[in-house]
Amino acid sequence: MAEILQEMADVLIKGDMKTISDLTQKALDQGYAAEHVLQKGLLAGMDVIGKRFKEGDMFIPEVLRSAKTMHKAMEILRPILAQSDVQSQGTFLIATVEGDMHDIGKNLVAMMFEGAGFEVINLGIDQKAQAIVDAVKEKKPNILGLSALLTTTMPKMEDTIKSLHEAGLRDQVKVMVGGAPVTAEYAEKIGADGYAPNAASAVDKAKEFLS
Amino acid sequence: MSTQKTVTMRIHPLGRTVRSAMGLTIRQALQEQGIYVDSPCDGQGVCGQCKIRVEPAEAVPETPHANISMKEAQAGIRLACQAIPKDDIQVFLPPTYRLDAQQAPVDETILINRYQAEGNIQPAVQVREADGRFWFSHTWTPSQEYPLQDWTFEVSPKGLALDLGTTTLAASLVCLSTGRELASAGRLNPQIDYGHDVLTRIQRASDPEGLDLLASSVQSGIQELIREICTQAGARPEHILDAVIGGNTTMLQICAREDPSPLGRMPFTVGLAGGCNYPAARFGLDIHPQARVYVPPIAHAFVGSDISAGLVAIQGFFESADTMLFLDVGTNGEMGVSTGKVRVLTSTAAGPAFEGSGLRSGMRAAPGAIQAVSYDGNDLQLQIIGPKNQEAHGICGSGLLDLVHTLLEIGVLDPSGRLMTREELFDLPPAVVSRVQKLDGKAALQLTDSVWLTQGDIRQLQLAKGAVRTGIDFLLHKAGLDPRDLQRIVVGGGFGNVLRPASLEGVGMLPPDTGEKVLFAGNTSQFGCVRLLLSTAAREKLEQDMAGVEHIGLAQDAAFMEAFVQNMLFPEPESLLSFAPSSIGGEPEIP
Repeated sequence: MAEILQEMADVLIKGDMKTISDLTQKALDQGYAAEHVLQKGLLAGMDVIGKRFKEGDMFIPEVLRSAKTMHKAMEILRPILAQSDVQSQGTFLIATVEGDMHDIGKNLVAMMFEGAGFEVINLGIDQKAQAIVDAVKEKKPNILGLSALLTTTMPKMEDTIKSLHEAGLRDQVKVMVGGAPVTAEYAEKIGADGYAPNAASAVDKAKEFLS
Repeated sequence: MSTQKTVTMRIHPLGRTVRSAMGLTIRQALQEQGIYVDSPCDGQGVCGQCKIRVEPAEAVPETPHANISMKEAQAGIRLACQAIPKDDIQVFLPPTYRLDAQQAPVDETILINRYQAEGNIQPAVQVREADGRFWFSHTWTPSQEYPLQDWTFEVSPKGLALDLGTTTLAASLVCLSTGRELASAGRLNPQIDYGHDVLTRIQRASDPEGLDLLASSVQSGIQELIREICTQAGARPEHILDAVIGGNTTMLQICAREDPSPLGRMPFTVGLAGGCNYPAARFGLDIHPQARVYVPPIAHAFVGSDISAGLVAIQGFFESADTMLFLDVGTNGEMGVSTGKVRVLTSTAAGPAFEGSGLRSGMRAAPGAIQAVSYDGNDLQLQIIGPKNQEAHGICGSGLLDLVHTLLEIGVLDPSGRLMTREELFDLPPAVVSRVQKLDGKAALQLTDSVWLTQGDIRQLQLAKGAVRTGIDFLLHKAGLDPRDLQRIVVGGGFGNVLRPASLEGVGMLPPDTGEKVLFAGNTSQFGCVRLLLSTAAREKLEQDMAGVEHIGLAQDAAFMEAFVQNMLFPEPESLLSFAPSSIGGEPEIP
């Protein structure tokens, strides 16, 4: 792999927000295509981050810092990528359900999807079923991720899936659920398509759906 | 030399005279009369806890012990369990003594009609005798009197102080005449079978059947405790005429059969009023049927009467001009800051790590738990609860904090919380390096054959301490205080006295340079409930004080998440291997 792309991956893993923009620009100046920079620099780095997070060798503060670093690089790459006809992995819509204010787990999942090349729409926290249904209707994501950290708000995931049924949208989107109290059994019980115990394996699961 | 066969002891502050056979220890003589001095080693002369003072000092040979200085010995301080009087003496009891209710009639009959005059004791009930029958009334309705069955002058009215915790229940039986604690007991909350944390219980009790199940479960646990303390003190449950319950809001609401589900979701509506009295039956208490239960003020869905009661116990939160931080750490971390003028409270989910739960080798602070860890320059030294040679079964909250702090200091953990690899630890002694292993393919530290600290455990601690620290930072910010300006930090809850404040600071749970201000206060909820049992004035004052306290919600604050993430990191160590040689090995220093 080209030295500069390897350096980009390393800087991303370190979460060095100061150098990433310069490096990204430098890589483009050296003649690498934006898509190549994304794939071999950033996404290669994210792949390592995902693995290390799964192993416990990296933790939330570092991963979120890497996410911010990635955003810096994407500010430069996105306008160029938009002009080329690069295929995205798919569109991923994610929200924390109604009554639940927890942001971190959902954001980790969102960044892992970004890191895997998905187009990610992050609706935010405390999202009513109807708001999620409206967003599915409008954005037509391939995959919907629902997050709940509280046992008390978990039932809202089931409500949201019901609302998708009622709106006639259930077959158009794969629904994945997650959050500390959620289990594979619970996911099956409420009629979700998939469950993942952590952000990194959520991406693997999503790729299975789309393959 | 005296030739008498018995000695006479005048016991202060009871004002009783006790005669005992020559040759008995003072402890034995007191016990025969139903007077107990705290003695954790049960009279072996080991623990040094049963100190009393005698006069004249010459009448009782000295009882050498590390806890008694030469000056104290000259002043007549002796261990009750070892002291054998040679002559008549006066005995001065420590404030912690207990009376057996059945065998301590003399003073109580004197006191029964005059507890208003008895210093600070102002209970919420009064007992009156008329024509050989006994009646009791609540102080707020003195004309409404209830008959007392089988009552005599020898019986004293009793109060129940109950701490209703998510994990444990604790009860004290208190004599409402003298203010003495007559008995106390604790046990696990039987609801633990239905989930370890508050939210799981809320979920479980959110339908009528589940609520009934959980309410009956905790009520049966409380009944058992009441029977136990009554047996200890030789009292009967119907002698209990008043009760105070400190509990988190969820536990209170479930015990009172009030639907807890609104507590688990926005906007966190509390369904049970605090700062008022309820019939005993509301909480299923099998005490005198006309007894009332006082529930101290409830500030929020996650800041219950256990916290307001706790603030009564740590004197000065409302009265003093001192700047103070109060921290009660369990599954939920509740905290309060007082600047002397402004008082704010909040709470944050800490998870079960501090209670030794949810960890690979986690356990409660019980025999077999690693409770303290130090580094002797060669290897980790583990201190295990229990007799010498006790095998380690796991690690409890204080041990976890100590261990992680030590690992940070010697560089086995980097400030991100990652366990270093063996290759990175080349400059440490082999004894330490060889503890770094893989468990199920992931990094872990081996403490004994069966006890491990995994990378995942460290991540759990980072979440827990990060949440608590963020709560503290937000409170201090709200109160406009710099952490360095804090005068006192009072830590209540499950942490024992073993926990080193340096470790709280070292893992970053407390702000820098605050460790030396830490005082451990034990079960503040329980102590506060006892005080509230003994003083209606204290209840009124607390209600007024709590009305002036602001509660801030953290979950709704976007800045909270950002700060929380940063606080998951450990502080950068000032220098590696900065441990003091004096902390090497052996017993840890007990603050």
